[in-house]
Amino acid sequence: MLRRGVLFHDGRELTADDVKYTFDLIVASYPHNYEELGPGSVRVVDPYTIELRPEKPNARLAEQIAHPIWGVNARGSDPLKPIGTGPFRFVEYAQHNRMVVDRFDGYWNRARTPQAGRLAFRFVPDPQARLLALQAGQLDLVSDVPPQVLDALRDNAALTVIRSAVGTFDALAFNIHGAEPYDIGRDPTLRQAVGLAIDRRALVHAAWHDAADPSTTWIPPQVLGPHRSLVAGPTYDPAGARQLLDRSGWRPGPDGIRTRQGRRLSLAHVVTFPTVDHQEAAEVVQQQLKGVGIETRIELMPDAAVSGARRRSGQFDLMHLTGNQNEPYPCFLPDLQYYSKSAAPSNRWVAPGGRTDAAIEACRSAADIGEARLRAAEVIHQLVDVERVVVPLAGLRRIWAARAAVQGFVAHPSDTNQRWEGVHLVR
Amino acid sequence: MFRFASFGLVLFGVSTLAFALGALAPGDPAELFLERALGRPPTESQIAEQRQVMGLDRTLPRRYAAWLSGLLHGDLGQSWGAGRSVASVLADNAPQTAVLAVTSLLLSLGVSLPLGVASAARPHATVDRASRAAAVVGASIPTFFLGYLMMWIFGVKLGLLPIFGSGSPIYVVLPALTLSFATTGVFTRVIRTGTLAALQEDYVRAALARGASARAALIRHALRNALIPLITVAGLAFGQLLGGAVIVEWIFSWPGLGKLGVDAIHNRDYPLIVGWMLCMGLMAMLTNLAADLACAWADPRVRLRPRDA
Repeated sequence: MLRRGVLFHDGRELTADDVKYTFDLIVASYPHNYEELGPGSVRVVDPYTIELRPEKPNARLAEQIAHPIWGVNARGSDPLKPIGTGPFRFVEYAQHNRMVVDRFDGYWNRARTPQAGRLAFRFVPDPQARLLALQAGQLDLVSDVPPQVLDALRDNAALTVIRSAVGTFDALAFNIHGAEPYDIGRDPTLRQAVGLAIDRRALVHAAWHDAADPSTTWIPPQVLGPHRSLVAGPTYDPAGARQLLDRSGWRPGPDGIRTRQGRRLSLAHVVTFPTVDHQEAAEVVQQQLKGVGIETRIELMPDAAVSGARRRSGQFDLMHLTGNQNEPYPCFLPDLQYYSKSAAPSNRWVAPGGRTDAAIEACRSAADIGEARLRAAEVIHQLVDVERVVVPLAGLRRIWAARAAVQGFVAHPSDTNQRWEGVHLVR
Repeated sequence: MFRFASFGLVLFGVSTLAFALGALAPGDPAELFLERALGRPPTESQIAEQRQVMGLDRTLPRRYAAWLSGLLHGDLGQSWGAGRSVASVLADNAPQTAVLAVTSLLLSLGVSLPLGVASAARPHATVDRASRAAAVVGASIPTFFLGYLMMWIFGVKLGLLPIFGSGSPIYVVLPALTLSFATTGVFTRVIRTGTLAALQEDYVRAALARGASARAALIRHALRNALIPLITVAGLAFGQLLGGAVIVEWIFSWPGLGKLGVDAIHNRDYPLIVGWMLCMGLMAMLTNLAADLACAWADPRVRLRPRDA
């Protein structure tokens, strides 16, 4: 059932026809969408009622389509000049340059009427240039502040640093099905030893300047709700790691790196793009693993295409991955990256299958969001504590910097979402 | 005529190279396109379908032949990333790069001409030494660092100039200054050396003997001859400016060809990469042609004939 009296930016009322138009547009553009919607999935019952039937069972559909990432486009409107029902209406867009939106006074939710009359988004890809523009007063608010500059920003009274809750994750994934020479990760004892050898607190301090959280749950703990304690996660125990490696026959060599039957304990550590976000973390992990006799060979991927090709080829022992929880579906990340039946070619090296697949399927078909959270905790427990295919490193926060005049901004933890209704300038 | 035929050969070579490099580069454009569009790793069947849509299921020679055929009909193909014709994407961005590169060149010439002549007029004096030091600094300072320095001085501290973006002419000042820094030093030294050498020539002495003032001998006689190597160097430097624009455009968010090229490579947008390389090659060749014509104008002994070329 649709809410009545919701207006588009051109003043027309939202009806079921517009909803069908939007879904049809999405299905035509992305026939294999994650919501399992197909050409016949959407039917208009009456002007205020719409019926959705996914092509495959999808118990998470209601949560997915209620996510703010979705929006309804007015029937026949130009996708490049969208006419929607949100709190801001589109004004202009210049590729790689700017996008401008104005407050929509006819927004249906009066409690969320925007404070600012106009928002102008400027695209400045270089982080240093963004900060300089902020300091020069040419921008009011900038995203993705590098943690390395936080100390310098703290001394500037005219600027405020705003952090989100944890929403993005850094983790290592083992290649557990690799062929020689990328088969070391098949050994579960070695995977356990790597988990024990990493000091997450020291890592977060050195690589993210304390602007991240030591993570053991891999996805945001709030997504798991009351079930987060099901995921124990590896604890820092280098002595335990050494014992495990000794028992497995890996003996320290003359340079401190262990060997077994003439084979050096050396892991290809592939750092996915964008490497600038992960390079320091990979170097700290390298030093920590060296302390227990494990060598890592860091390989930085120059762009997303090379990263994808490398991941697909299985030519890695450790893949340095980042994940962003930008869906309401609690199993979004494990389903995406560790479901062995997903047919995504990049999953085949890291997905354990068996119980993990069963747990993911249970999460998909959970009757309600509460049960889905429980199932998600079980999936992650399986991946982190049982299979040990994932070694969580850190939970990352989005870091913004604003001029003191900016008020009402609350940073969203996800990379892809942000609310702007409350933001305004106080002169 | 010969020159224009050689243009065609060079452009053919550039496009062949671009296609070959594209085939050798790791990464599947179809997979990358889908991963960005869907926000998640695509399946094998999705990738196979997308490869068909992009024409990647055909062999490289067939793709290249189809592209060449399109080119002969004035069609550079469709950009996979932008979803519109490569020609229109390039047309949107090329003028911005041309503005940046030409402004940088004019800035370099505007500063280096008087500085080079002054250095030659009084060798080893303060101006000469200062210009030599500036040339060394200009050649050795990394462009990105210089860019940040310019932003900090003129944007943050003095609040005089915009730090990023494009729009009114004032936006081009900082990126053009940054881009011109290295070439200004080189141009100054070329003018100084050329003018000094010309001042030793008999025709300059003869002019002085005929009663011409030292200033007139310097400007009218020595400088004109010193300009010939400068024109050649400037023609070559324009190509360097186009290359340097990649970094400068990124730092200053200048929406030109440099940034477009980086994005196209990251996206494995092969039609756009090949079109971009052709466009950059064409701009560099036209600039060199202009430099050669200017040389011929400045020195009547220089004539462009096939056997000389």
